[in-house]
Amino acid sequence: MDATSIADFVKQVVMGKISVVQHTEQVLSEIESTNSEFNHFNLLARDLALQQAKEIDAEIKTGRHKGKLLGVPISVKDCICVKGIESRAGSKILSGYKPTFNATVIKKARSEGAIIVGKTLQDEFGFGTFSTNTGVDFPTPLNPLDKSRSCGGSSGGSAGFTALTEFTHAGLAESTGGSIACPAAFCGVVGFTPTYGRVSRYGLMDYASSLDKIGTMGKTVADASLLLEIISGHDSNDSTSLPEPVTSLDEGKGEAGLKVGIVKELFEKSDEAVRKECEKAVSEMEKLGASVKEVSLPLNSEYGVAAYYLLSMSEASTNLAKFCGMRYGLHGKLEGSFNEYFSKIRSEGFGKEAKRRILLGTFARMSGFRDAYYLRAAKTRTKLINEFKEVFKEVDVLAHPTMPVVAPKFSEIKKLSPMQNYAMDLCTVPASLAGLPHISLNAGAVKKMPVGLMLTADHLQEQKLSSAAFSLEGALK
Amino acid sequence: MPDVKIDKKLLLKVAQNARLNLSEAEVKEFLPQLKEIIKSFNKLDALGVFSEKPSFQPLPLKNVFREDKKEKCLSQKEALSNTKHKKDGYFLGPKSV
Amino acid sequence: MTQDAEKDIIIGLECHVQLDTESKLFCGCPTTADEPNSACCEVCLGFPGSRPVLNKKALDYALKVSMALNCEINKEFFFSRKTYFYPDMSKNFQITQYEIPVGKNGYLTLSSGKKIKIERVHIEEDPAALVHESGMVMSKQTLVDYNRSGVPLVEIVTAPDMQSPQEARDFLDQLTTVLQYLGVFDEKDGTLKIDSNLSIKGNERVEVKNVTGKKGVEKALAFEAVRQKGVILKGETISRETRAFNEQTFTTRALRSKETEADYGYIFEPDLPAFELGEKYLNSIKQGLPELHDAKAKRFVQQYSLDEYTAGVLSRNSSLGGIFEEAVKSVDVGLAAKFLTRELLGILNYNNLSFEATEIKVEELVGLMQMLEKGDVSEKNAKQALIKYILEGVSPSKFIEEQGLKKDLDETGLQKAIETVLDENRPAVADFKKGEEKSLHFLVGKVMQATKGKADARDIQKKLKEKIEAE
Ligand SMILES: [Mg+2]
Ligand SMILES: [Zn+2]
Repeated sequence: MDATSIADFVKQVVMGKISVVQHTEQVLSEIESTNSEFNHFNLLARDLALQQAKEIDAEIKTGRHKGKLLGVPISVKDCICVKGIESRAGSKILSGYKPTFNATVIKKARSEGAIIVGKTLQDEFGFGTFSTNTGVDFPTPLNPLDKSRSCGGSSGGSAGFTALTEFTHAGLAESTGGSIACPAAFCGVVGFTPTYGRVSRYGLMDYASSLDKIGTMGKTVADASLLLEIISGHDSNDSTSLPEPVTSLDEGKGEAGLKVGIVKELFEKSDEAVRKECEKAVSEMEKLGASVKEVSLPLNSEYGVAAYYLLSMSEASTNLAKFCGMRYGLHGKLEGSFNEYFSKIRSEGFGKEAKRRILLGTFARMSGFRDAYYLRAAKTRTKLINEFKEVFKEVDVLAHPTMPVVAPKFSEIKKLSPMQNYAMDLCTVPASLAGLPHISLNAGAVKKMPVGLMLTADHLQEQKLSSAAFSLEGALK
Repeated sequence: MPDVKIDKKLLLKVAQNARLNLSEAEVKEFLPQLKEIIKSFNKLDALGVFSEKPSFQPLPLKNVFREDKKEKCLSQKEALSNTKHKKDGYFLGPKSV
Repeated sequence: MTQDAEKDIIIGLECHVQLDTESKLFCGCPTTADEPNSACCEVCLGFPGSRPVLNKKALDYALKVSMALNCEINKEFFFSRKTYFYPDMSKNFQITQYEIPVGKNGYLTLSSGKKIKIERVHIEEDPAALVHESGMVMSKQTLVDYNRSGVPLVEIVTAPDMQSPQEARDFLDQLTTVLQYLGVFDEKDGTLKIDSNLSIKGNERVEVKNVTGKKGVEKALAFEAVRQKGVILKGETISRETRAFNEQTFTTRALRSKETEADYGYIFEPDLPAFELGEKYLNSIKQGLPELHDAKAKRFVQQYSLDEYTAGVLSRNSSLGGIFEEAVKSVDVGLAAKFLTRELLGILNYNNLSFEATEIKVEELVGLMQMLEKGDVSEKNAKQALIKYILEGVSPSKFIEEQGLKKDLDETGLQKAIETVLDENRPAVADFKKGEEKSLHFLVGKVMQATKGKADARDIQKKLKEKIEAE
């Protein structure tokens, strides 16, 4: 059990104090033994992991070792393609799909010596807030702090395992409307979501292309930041990848001189206990030298959820059109017309929430409704982005609860209608729509269940977030 | 917002367009849910955005190209590696009419 | 069909032209391949996680086409997803342009001088190729080859401005001439797929989908015009529908009615950025445009005093116009024009060859024309040499040399040959004297044979006549 930071772990590996093969074996057996209880992984990449570990040990012996993630076990959300490893985005419709290529983030992590240990459980294609919308025949991951509660979603397995394991570990996760921050908050770990386009989406199986971001999950701000820095950067295979050079996410100058904006509406709409923990954390920031003021995002808090769901569902319903039982994934007996065959496979392969979102997305872009729903949402998005841009003229970083509640019990989640469920995302969707970088870190706890504080900065200001979160994390320990 | 009547007929039309067969039970479950959700979407009506330019992406991204150069592609075997439905180097699909 | 009846016909075309690029529209796969599914990658196969990146050359070409068709250029545009389910669509959506095409509101001039309005020119990706082993209707399954998937196309949409299948054909001829001039379309290997719509004034319109080639479109439209008029004549109504064309029988059959048409649910393509073209870039494309055939024909009339018809023929093909201008540097304009439009095009047409399919070198042609002009070779032998050159690649000068076809026959040689022929064919001479013109042709032929074609027929005829009349 190492429980040290990634940086320290790598130092020990380089010095030869840790055998990467042995360590990887230990991590794999821990996953095997805990997974039957918590369902954080839906696939263990045992052979691939050990093969990578052997290569790294051999490199260390010959002194040719390099890499900032040497021997570090990295879990990968199921929606990120790993060459030759079954990748299903949590959906039955991708059964048996073994990508012919690695996602750019996988290439980048591996070139720094990371060990890919397996694929983590998620809501099907990212369609959820609690990881309870997993695909047909998939289990639901459980919160390591209370098994009757959700890990959050959609990167539930990623956050759950990051919280559970005693080993050094970081996760590659993905967020469309808050799917990194939410589970990080519910499991008490750090979730770092970059600016849209900062990390290549090449090899990410889409939910909604204009909203999807690959980000990281770590036990600490330092771990999550290190992994994010490694996977960031321009990629010519992704037309929406940003050309700007990557800033290094080191400890920075912390809160000194930082202007923090407390988002009034998002505090107001959160549970009182959650609000209090977040207020305490913000006052810590003030003690560290930040100046704090209240700001308001009335349009985002009022219209964010509707605009987000309309756009994400419209895009998702086109992204999911490709799944039809022909080229990969779930297959059926080829019979009937193409319409009959496609409909049969799709009806069998998609889970309930996926169907709901495909229906809503198809509706929103159908002729006759398109202008009123899809297009209106896209226009609303302009207003919402502008509202953020105005606020960032006054402050450096926004702060508010990541989720309005602590991790709910499965029995409570069952009672929510889909719309009530969507409304739970009110704090995370505004930053997502605007493509703003944000980080969620543990601010405290309510009856032992963690509370996440979300910090959001302007586009490409990951450095500010990392440095502010790092200092706050130290102060809260 | 258009005066949309969310009924079974519309739901089935949308489902057909999305190539989904809905069971009776699914129709019964989805119909009130979709009504509730679409009603909440109608909220956007209150915000005057008529003259606003739509944002299809969060950041303004412009002019990304590749040069017209041949690159390595997959072998036929790799291309077909994920499908059970293949014949003589072709993918096999359902009847196209 | 009478002229009056044709005024009732309304035709519009959507032409899908394959752009002649090395790689596909959104990935680096080649646009040609020998084996099925051997020129594909995760992008054009629509594997999840793959992303499109726009081929710059395809955009350059689409801009050239738009400018050559006199379109307004949209400096800001983007791509859309057109979602519909079909086995040839790797993503079940096509990346195309919907709201804002690259070019709009242009025109193309027909050979009659009539202008056909171009509504839009947009870029899109080609779907895969489907193979139906036992015919489209009978096959229980479909074979799919994604090599075509993602090949760059421009779609050129006309207004319903054409009034006969012949006019539609002329439009396509003019269009391919422009495309050939621009060098963006390979008429030999590239495909031209056309959706056409035809209606009889006052009736619903019918779309004929996916016809390959210019001839096919003309046939399909001709069939439709007759069919629709027949329906009206019977007092029935024409229903708005989409039909397919059978290339074997030249007939069309109903495919689907308007009601079952897909709702494409267009959205902005979120995996591509928006595009905003600068003035400098557009100017560089504009300056790279060649002189097009219309302009060239006008110039030929002015500069070389050619008649309009000849100027039109010479400028229809950019290579031919080029050869002509090279030739007139050293040979007579009339001779060059006649040689190229009659002899050269005659041989190409007779052998069903396109200019591009041959490897004609300007120098060889000019050399041959020079010999002809100097009288070193007869017209007949020059044509013989040209055929040999076009079909077998044998150099004309070498051919003429080796076959001894050079016009080295002097006056006494010719006179001698004439005398011999007259001596040997007295009955024919007698017939001619009786007034049978045919006999003279026979005698000319005999002299030609004897002189290996080195002398010109007209010259021989004249001399024969003189000789006989002097007898
Ligand atoms: Mg088209
Ligand atoms: Zn490709």
